[in-house]
Amino acid sequence: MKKLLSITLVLSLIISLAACNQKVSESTLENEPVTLNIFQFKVEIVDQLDSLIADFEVAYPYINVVIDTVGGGQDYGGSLNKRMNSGNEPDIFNIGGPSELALWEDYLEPLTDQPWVNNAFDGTLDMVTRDGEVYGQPYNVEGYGLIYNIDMFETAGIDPTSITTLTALKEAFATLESKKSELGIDKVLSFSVGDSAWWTAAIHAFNVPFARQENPFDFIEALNQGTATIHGNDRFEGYLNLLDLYFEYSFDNLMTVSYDDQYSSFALGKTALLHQGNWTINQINDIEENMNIAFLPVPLSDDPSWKNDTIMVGVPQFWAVNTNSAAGNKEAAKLFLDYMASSERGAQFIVNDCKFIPAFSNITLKANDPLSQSIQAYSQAGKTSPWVWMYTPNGYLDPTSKEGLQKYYLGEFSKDDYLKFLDTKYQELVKAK
Amino acid sequence: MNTKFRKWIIFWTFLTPTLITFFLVVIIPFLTGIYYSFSDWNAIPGKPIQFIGFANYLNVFNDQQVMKSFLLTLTYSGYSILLINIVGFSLALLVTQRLRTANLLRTIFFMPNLIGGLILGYIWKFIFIKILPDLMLSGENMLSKPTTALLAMAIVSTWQMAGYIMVIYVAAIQSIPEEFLEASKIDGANALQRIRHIVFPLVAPAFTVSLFLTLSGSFKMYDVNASLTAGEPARQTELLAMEILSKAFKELNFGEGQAQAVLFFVFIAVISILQVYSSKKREVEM
Repeated sequence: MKKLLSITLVLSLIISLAACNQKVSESTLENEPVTLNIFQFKVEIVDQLDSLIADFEVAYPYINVVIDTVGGGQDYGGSLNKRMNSGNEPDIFNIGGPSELALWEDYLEPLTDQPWVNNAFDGTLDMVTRDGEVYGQPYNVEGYGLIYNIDMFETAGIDPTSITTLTALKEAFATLESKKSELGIDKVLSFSVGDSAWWTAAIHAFNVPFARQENPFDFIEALNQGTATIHGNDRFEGYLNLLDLYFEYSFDNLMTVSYDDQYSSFALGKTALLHQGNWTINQINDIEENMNIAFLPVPLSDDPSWKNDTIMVGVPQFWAVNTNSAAGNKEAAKLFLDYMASSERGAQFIVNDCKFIPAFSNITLKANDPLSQSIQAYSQAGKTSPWVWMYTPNGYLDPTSKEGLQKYYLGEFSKDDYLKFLDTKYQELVKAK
Repeated sequence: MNTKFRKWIIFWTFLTPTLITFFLVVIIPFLTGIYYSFSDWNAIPGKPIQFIGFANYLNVFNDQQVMKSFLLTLTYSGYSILLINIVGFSLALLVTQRLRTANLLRTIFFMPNLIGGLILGYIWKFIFIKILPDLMLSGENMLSKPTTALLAMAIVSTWQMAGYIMVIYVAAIQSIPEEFLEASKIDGANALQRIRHIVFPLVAPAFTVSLFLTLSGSFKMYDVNASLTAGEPARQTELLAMEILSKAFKELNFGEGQAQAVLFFVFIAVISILQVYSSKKREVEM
């Protein structure tokens, strides 16, 4: 009996080892079964993607789509790196912008000949274009700023169109603060500097002074060359004034406010404003549907030449095709991306399911949520500033910007310390590249 | 087939799979890691790797965050080694008394150890942020200040590890011959004196093991660190393991991260060997 048992055990071991060695055969012929591996970062749209994939698989029965998602405060870049090294490379993955374009240059399939390229709005492909070749398909267009509760502003008697300067914002905050009990709010602004929402401060708020430079991209180039500094730059002085204002009128302890805490306190009507972007709409709707909300610009000063009346709009992430994948997988990947950008179902997915603002002109469906509409209004009026953070060196946002901002919040950094720290680290990281 | 040969077959059949796995996931990565620490490897497969000598190692010593994380790790280890061993030993004394519920208590105290550190971290984060401030009637929570956040981490790892360490002490206490305790009782030793002069010296081997486990465990701490504080606030609870990961995967500076990891290994090895050596000397033979 004992013998039998040991033989069975050994056999099962051998079998399981042998099973590991079996390689899935990859076919290159069309209409042969293809397994398309997608590795993406947007946790907010997993259900919507699953349903899109189900329809895609009906349209192309020979393609089986497997999707993995890492994001929502988790480190997508690091995970992608591990995934690529594991040998199980995804066919479709995400890149964020220029620094990742350079990092993964050997992995990117040119998509210049794809039909959706001609439909993409001006400027949406700039970050993933190199030497005339396009390497990424934009997810969507997104924007962030100060989301405000229109009803509360009316009750408090504040005219939102008047808020185009820091002084006006300060006055509005003070007015809301004085009418707290009337409005039923705990705090004026919902903000965070740590936990799962650290990026709302250390990336998004931090981007504003970059975006408001006379020429943001020249400024980044000058930083890279070491000819410009953050310390002594007036936009960054303005940024610190904005932070001080935020700290004064937001929660007592911003360090441990999670993303859930941040948007839910706004959706529950406990704050009048929320520093976030239109991607939050799904979560807000889950709590309180049909809220009457829109964007306010984020002013850094009273000087009109600083474009203080703009909100920050950009393309958050791009879909890229792995050039090392088998030909059949690459074909399937391009089919899937085009299905998303060009088909009826894709348009429905982008606009209705995900509440995205499309980056393509062929999509005529109108955004039906208030935040997307607000962004479209700002875009049409030309009142937008770019997203610049993707141009900063690796490691500059997390951990550097996060560390500096949290230290400033805790009072361990003075204004000068904070800005000098940002300069020193920038040069260190540029050199380490 | 003679018995010797059969034994040999059985021996290697059972050992080989483990050995292969051990080589694949420990030995080989360790050796390639040493190689990478002398290069400018950036973890993008297919890129040429350049050998850059000791540059990575020199950078480690010029990195302020490394020094900070090193001191934090020492502080944290101090807290958690003390807490885990005191709590573990006290629990062991408690459950070796003649209590009706002794067995049940042992199971209960051991249970937190069955939950992974990541999950424990998330559960305790909720407790520290949402529940404790309400109980203490103050808006402050432990995770928002650097000093208390480090202590919070030590509390969570104590919650997790104390039961495990308790089991080791229980085994040691139970192996103390009853006569010793009885004889001392007759000689008029009170409970404290019995613990001080009989139990302590005789469980010294268990101290060696427990100290080794808690010491290496707290130096290597990553899971609770990642889920409870994630290095916040402002990288002031970022222990060495997390610092290494951040250097490699966030700054994408894999060579330097790897150099830190090699030094980290040497450091833990030296400390652990010294500790085992010095504790061994204090053990008494029965």
